[in-house]
Amino acid sequence: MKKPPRLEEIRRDIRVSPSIYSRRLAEKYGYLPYMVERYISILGVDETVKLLEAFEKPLKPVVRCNDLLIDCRELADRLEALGFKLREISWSSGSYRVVEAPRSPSIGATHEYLKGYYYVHRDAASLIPGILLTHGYSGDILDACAAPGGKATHMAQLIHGRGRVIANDLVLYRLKALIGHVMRMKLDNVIVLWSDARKLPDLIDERYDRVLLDVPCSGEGTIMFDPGRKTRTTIRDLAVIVRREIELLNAGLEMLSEDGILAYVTCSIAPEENEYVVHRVMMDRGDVEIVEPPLKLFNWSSWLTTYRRHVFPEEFKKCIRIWPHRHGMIGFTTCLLRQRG
Amino acid sequence: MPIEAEGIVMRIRLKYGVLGRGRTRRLYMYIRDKLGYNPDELFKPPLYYTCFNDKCIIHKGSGKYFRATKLYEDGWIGVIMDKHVYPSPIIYERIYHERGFRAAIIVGDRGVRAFLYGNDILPESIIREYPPLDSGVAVVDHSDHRVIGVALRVKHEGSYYYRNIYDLGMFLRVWG
Repeated sequence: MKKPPRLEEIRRDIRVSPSIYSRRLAEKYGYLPYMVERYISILGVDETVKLLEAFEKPLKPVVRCNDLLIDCRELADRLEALGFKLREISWSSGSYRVVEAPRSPSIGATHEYLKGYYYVHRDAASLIPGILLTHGYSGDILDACAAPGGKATHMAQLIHGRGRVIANDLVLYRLKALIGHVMRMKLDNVIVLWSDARKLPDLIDERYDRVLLDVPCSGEGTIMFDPGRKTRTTIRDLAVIVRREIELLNAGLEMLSEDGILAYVTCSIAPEENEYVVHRVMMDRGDVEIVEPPLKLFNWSSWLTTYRRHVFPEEFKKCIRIWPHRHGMIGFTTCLLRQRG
Repeated sequence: MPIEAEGIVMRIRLKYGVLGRGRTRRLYMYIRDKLGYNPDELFKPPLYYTCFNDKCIIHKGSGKYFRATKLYEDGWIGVIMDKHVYPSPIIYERIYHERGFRAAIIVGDRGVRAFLYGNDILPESIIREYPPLDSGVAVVDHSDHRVIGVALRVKHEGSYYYRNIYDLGMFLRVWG
């Protein structure tokens, strides 16, 4: 296993000195100045303001129908009869944005929910990796950081009858929720493991054709749900998170079989947690290439090829970046990687 | 997946392993004698359990997956409540789909709502009873014939009601 880089080295690489203008804008919206400085260097001032405004607006949840238990049209009718107004997501069949909700019940407490007829996602973006990883695929999938189980249960549905999901996580109370969702949705193709994903290459002899690595991240794309994230992660904290993400990505790649595909996923728009992490691992290993997504679900943005003093590979244009102000979703990224034989 | 906010500390006492012979035998006997179904067609022993604090479920595998810790595998078979074992809704529904209702009560809207909040079922909520009723019975929602939990018939002042053993509302109250 590759040794992770030293924290000082990461800190040096990701250091940001905010300008006076960034500081003013950060103060106005309540952010740490380094965050806004980054947004301006990526998006320019006007688009940064649009991004900050988008983070001020709450997003409506998304219902993903469990078509193994119910016809999705029937589910939509039943929820609409309860007073929910749904809008179908064009690129994910059986998924609906809840655009209006009654005072009671909440979308996560209906009888239909308890019967396992659907899963509630905070946003549609989290549907993307499962669709891409399972497209035309039969076989087992390792979900290395799986709890609370939105993506694991989605993939278990998508490959039902063709494979199993090995869903691993380290945090026990989140695993409890994951097992609850698996039972509630009556899924019979999920194995749940309790391990540190960084140790999986030593703990499991099997290798997988598909690995989902939704790493524990700063959550910088989910500020609309948790405004505390505007100030929670200092640049020093970010370096610690980045180092762990590098360790996790190395471990995830070790779990791949020859020609297997790994989806590296974060709900952070920070280039440090995405482009920097993947570039760093690619440079260190020399055996990783980017894979073009098998589907273009909608007009998403691509990863950055330059950021401040960093120059990233041109093939990063194949990776997916969702911006709240452009796509009306959380900030989210997905990049498909393959380990060359 | 965002890192959880700091300051949330939840203590969980975890237990897992092979389901004991006595409990396995009781689950087999219930399915064979009360539901009239051959349990070997549903699962093969050994069965496994996993407990988060005092909430225990029965399923098809815990222990080791290579050298990693496995907590759950491939299908919910039952629950352990107060040292008794009861099948999961999946098991009941599979049997009812093939053989029709046994050891079941069909419940109307008000009863379903109350039951899913963890309450008992009163006689006026029961639309129909399918014997045998002398041990755990599946509680079935009349609207779609889905099993929403298990109850136990209890005599009280000359009439019967059904005491809630477990219900799907536990996915909010316990497993959420």
